Amino acid sequence: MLQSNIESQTSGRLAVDWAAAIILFFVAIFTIHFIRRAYRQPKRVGGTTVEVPGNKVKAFDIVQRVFHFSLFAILGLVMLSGVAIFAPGSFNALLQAFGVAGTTASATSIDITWHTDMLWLLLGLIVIHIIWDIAVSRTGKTIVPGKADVTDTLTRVKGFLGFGPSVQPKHGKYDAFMKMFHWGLGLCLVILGITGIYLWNPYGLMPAMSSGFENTMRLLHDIFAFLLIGLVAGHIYFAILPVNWPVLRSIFTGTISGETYNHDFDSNRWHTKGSGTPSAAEKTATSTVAAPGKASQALTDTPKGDHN
Amino acid sequence: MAMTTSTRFGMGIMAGIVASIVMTISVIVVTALGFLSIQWFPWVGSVLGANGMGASLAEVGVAWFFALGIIAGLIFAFVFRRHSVYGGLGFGLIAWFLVVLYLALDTAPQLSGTLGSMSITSSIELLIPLALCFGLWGAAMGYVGNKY
Repeated sequence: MLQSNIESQTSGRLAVDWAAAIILFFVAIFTIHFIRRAYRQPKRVGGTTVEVPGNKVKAFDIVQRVFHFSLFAILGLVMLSGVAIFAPGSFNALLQAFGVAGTTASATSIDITWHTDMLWLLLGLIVIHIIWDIAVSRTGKTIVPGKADVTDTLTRVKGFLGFGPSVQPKHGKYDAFMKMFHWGLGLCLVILGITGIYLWNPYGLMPAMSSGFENTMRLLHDIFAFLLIGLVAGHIYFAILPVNWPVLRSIFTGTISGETYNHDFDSNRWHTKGSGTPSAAEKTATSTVAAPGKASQALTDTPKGDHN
Repeated sequence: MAMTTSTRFGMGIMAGIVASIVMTISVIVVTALGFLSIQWFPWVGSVLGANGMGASLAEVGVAWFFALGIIAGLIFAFVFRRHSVYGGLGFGLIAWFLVVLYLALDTAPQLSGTLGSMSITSSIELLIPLALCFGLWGAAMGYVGNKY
């Protein structure tokens, strides 16, 4: 049964100090990254340059782009209403346009309605996302981590911390950090979904909980909710860095230019319909290019910037 | 190079969705700051015939708002030969004018009357924030169209 009693929803909550600590942790990471990259941009290394017919490579189809922005809108509403439930009366101003008004109790009740109703849409979107990417567009493999991602990450972390050359190996469609974000988001959503179902108990489906178990569920729900907020904030931070604008544009237009494809991506690790084969000159030029994983030893092009 | 029908279709959907998100964020901001005197999404829901209170009305309003946004995006994609931010702004102005026309002829919940019967101050407090939001809506649509 949906509980609208505010007091029952605040017992076992994550302390505000800890919530703030999680958010500050992410803010610190972004700040360090921003300052570090303001002074030192890594060189792109590795990969094989190819001819790109039409100078366009298809990155996202229309379903994937609609999914992305629908997820943005729905997750945004779920997060806003969730934070308003976490701190009753504090964030309701941001939800006034959605009918949240009145006393704190009645506003929280409407927040809960938004928070739970949007979950059905979220679930539907995730199902569509999985079916589409695995069965229809068959691009699911591009997000699966591989060995090369481990070596790439080590190379980049060493370079970032100053223990190695400041290089960034060209990657597949998604680099290691994007994959970590994707699976981190998935993990958070699974845990939030399980704990949320227990707390929400739609149609009385869930068994009765002891107060201790309920508090544990609520604590886990809060912790992973703030981790999710941090991940989403990180996603937006990296997306709006000017160096990533060509990739950001592709989530609107669906394509990236041939220059961006050859500059940022390794055609051996991301085969697309739009990318061609290495030209004769490039075959010669890339004969000295290191294999993926050892890409840091080969410098094949001029530095432009990094993605993470 | 002329845009193909499928490209225009994709552009229209993307422009509609992105413009709707941009306007949603702008509506959230102007409402939170107290500049907009109505609750936008419950208002849209009630204008388009939904019944109920609070969240349920707003949910219908959000659904209609995004659906109409996508339809508008498709119209923008197919009617305009070239797409620019200025073209989008003009399109937003037309959308805002349609809302003004509705408010001039009919009233809606949360309002005391039509534009003619309300005080000038109330009318301005309603129309100026909406003009800003629809301006951003159109500009976002034009921007996506321009970059496509």
